Amino acid sequence: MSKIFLEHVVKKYGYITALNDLSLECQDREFVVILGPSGAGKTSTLRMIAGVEAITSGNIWFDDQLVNEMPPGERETAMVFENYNLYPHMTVFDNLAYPLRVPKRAASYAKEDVTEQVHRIANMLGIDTLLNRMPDQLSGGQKQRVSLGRAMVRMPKVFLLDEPIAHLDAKLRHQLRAEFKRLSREFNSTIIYVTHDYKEALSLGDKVAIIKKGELQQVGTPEQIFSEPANTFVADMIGEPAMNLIPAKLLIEQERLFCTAKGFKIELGDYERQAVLSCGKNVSQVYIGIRPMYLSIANGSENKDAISGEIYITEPLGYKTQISVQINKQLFYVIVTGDYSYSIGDKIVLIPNKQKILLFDRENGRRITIV
Amino acid sequence: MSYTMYKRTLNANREKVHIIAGKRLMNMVSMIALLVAAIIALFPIYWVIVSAFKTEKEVFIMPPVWIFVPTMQAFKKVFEMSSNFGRCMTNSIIVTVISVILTTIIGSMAAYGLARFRLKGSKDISFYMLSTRFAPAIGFVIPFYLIYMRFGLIDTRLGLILANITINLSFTVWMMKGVFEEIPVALEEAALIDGMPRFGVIRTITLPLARPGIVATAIFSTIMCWNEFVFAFTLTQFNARTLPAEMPRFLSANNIQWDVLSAAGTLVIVPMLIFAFFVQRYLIRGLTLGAVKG
Repeated sequence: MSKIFLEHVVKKYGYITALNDLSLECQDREFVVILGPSGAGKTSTLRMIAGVEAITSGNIWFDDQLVNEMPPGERETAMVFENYNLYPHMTVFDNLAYPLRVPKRAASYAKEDVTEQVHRIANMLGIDTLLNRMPDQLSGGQKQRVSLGRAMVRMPKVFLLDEPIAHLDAKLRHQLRAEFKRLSREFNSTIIYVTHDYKEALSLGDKVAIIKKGELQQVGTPEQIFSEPANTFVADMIGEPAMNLIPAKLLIEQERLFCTAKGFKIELGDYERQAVLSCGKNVSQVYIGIRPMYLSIANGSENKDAISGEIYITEPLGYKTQISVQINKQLFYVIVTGDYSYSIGDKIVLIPNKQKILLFDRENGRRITIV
Repeated sequence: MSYTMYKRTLNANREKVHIIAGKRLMNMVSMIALLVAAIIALFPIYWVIVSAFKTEKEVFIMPPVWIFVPTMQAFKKVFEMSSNFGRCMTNSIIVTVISVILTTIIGSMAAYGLARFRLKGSKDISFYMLSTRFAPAIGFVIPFYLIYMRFGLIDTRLGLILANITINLSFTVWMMKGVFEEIPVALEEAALIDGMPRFGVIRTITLPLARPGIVATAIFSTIMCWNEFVFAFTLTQFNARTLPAEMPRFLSANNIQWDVLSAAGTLVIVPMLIFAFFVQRYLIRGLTLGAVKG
């Protein structure tokens, strides 16, 4: 069992609060991704779980055992660092073997066992030809694999990964992301993965926790994070190009709910109407959230829930094109797949997929849902 | 190619020649400057060593004698004039070796604590240690003498070792602090997470990486201990006398026997010269180490 529970954890560095009242539960063998921009407090969280950073207040539990004061060596966690942290004066083999040679494990691993295990892990990661090299003779991707191997070699209960692929080029990142996914299936460990890249979060995590400036914004599955963001920060963070967030006003006419801004008036469905009513307060200033892929281009037929504007920029990206449409000094992003023949200045009409419209309260950024 | 292109390549080549010639000239000027500096620095040492092999008359002759028949009589006279000289050599060696070992061990441990742990007042302690180097050693001589009298440490090797440690500890701590600060904490954290206890981490990670710095610091300490004069002269008389402290015996009010003095000086200088020759690359590494961080 390797359940991790962070209970109201606070971390302060002097007067700066890096983490404010973070509570998070990681189930046994779950792949949890902590997502957030730089400075959000993700690395501090990971370091506190590992035991190399003191907790200002709050508790951390490993399987119902309080580990606040437990030294890192006893916690059965393994960490993969952002800048690899390979021991520069040892060969790759010795780097990988180091965790097996520490006093508390040396008894259970004889010399042959160590060699066998190191070779096994090296084969799994494709670094078996590098065992005699020194760390400064390795490329970034190779160093990252050695760092990962060093964590894997002792089959820990918990893997902590701190932006492990942040410093690699895009192609390698894509490749390794897939490999992580495969490897995580083979290991029976709880994995906590920290990143600022939403793609890694969506593709790897069973559960994603989003942190901004030390505060937890939302915890949910990738689908929930994507389609039911809790606030504008989460909505904006996930997806590229980002979700369109357009300031609008809500009006109720004859029991029907409309959202309007200069240039359009769209009727909203039942769900939104109930949500607004159950909200408790009088909400009129909102953001309309709609992702670029849920806006389509009208093909000429009349449509009352349409938004008309002018093409501002087109960005061809291979199989798809990203078009920025200017509507009354607002830029909407649309994604069009397939062939297109639009150019700058063309008049264009957009139709939003009404099922995918989200409403956010402009005052506090929170999404308006049925309470 | 056209005429303008031809002209352009010609000018470009001329510029290149000017740059190369300029570089060569700079090299020559630097070489000459270095040569002059080397001669100024090394000439006194050369003179002392050469004078040690001359007769008394040859040392004094003006203009100086450059080519001569070397003789060992000055060295013989050294041991005649100072019956203690052999013992002084052994004392110098013993005191230096033990002082350096103890200073390095104690100093490194203190430096590790200052570098790694955020202790209350560690900044103050660091500065306090550094400040002990500001005052000249001779200012402490009388208090030391009085204390040593009380404890019966006058003219003992132990007393001298303690004095050397006192003087050199601040330097060692200061340099080793810089060394440890250059080793990333993250490496030690990785080792701690891997399950190694703190002392194991120091043994397997910190010390191997700090070795060049430790060696450089130890070399500096060795040179300083060997050449230490003030405390050796005042706190020892006969039994624990070291080489530098024995030198004044060759000076007397009436007459200075330069050849004997030179021979004694040579015996003091040469061991350090040989030592420095063999460890020079560690010395250079050490000079650039603490200087940048501090």
